[in-house]
Amino acid sequence: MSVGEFEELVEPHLGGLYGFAYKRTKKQEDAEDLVQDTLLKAWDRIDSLSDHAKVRSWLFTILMNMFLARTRTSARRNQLVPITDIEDDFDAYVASPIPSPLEEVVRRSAAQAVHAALAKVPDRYALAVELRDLEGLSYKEISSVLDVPVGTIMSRIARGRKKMAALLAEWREQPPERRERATR
Amino acid sequence: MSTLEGMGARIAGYIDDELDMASRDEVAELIALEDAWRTEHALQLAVRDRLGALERPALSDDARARFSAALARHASEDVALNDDQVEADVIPLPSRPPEAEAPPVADDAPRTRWSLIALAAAALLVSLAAFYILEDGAKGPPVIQREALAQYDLVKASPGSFEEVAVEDVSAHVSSWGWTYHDPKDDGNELELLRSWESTIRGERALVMAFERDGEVVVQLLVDQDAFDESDEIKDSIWRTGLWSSARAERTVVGWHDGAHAVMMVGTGTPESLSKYRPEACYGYKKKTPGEDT
Repeated sequence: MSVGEFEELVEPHLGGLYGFAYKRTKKQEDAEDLVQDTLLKAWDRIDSLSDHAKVRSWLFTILMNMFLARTRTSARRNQLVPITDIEDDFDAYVASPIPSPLEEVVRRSAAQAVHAALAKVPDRYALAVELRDLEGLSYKEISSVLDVPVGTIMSRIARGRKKMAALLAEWREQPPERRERATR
Repeated sequence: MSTLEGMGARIAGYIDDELDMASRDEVAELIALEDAWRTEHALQLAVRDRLGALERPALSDDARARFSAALARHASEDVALNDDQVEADVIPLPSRPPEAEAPPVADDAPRTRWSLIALAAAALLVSLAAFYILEDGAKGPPVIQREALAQYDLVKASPGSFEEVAVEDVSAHVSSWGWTYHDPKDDGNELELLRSWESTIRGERALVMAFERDGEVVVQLLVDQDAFDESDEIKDSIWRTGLWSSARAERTVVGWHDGAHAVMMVGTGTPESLSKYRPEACYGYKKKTPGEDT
């Protein structure tokens, strides 16, 4: 395969790769570096990609592994949020009559609140939700990227979305000054 | 996976059009009939739509040009990145700590009294190593904890039968994360907390609680249900060390592996939230005496 053919193959996925990298690294330069390294590694291994229809999940897998290799010593985000507390909150919101339906709260949430909430969702759920709802990967593709069964992906997406809803509702109930701090 | 969680997952699959036709019809019917599922469906849909509507960071033309140039340069030089940069596992796991290994014994060591003492010490080390194998490293004062445990003969783990558990009123009161309080005189049971400490098991947070019962040490390790479900390493380490695991331990009876010296309890939630279940859980253990018929 020529470099031109390779570029043609990966080009449709560059935006998605960059968006996902940016979400993980939080910095433009780091995200660009990550995508570039992903492309170089993909070029080195292009012969191992037998089915070009799977190029998207293959690229995400390479990017994911490169990112993890760089951050394996850093603290894991999923240790920061008390999961059960969030789920309890969710159940409480669903069970109690609140002024506006929770789905409306979610739909009207400001972008900064959505980003802040997503950053608080533990990685194992956030990754699945991001790959699905932001990048549009199929469950099978996500399963390949994260190396877990499709059933687990389904469960993680459901739980991730529920946590997002609970966090957005919680965020909405905070006074404005606390919201400011939360998004910094 | 509970029914609630299972239905949530199916609703996710329904929203994302990932179910087969039969499952799809079934979920659609349940959503139409049940308020709870309708709410869950509406919320998941709202979150998906909101995330999908987020403005995405755009990759600049400059960056694209840089990628292209780097690729051309890379291809012409045929330079490969080091493999170790990308061979990471999807979930990085810590390696086994060196303390877990028993010290080597020299082949030509004379069989003296000293060698017997060394063997006894090695046996004790192997017993204690079970904790090290499971734990990635206790964060508390490990010397004191292990000294406390070393007062007891830990039963050597061996695969075999396990007996039913006698459910008793064990009102261990959890006052805060990392520490529990239990006074055996208050409720008449014989389970006494020796120590508890925060730790990790194969990279997952855990609460370790060491109890004494009838002169033996019972160690409980509490981990998140998801961590247990999704980590083959944790499951492997359970079987290697003779632990008996019990899913949903916060609500159900715990099986007790004959000869095991510890039990792992898993439940939904973080270790600290799991520990909150203990006041209601009310379960204890009756250690089987070797040779005793049930």
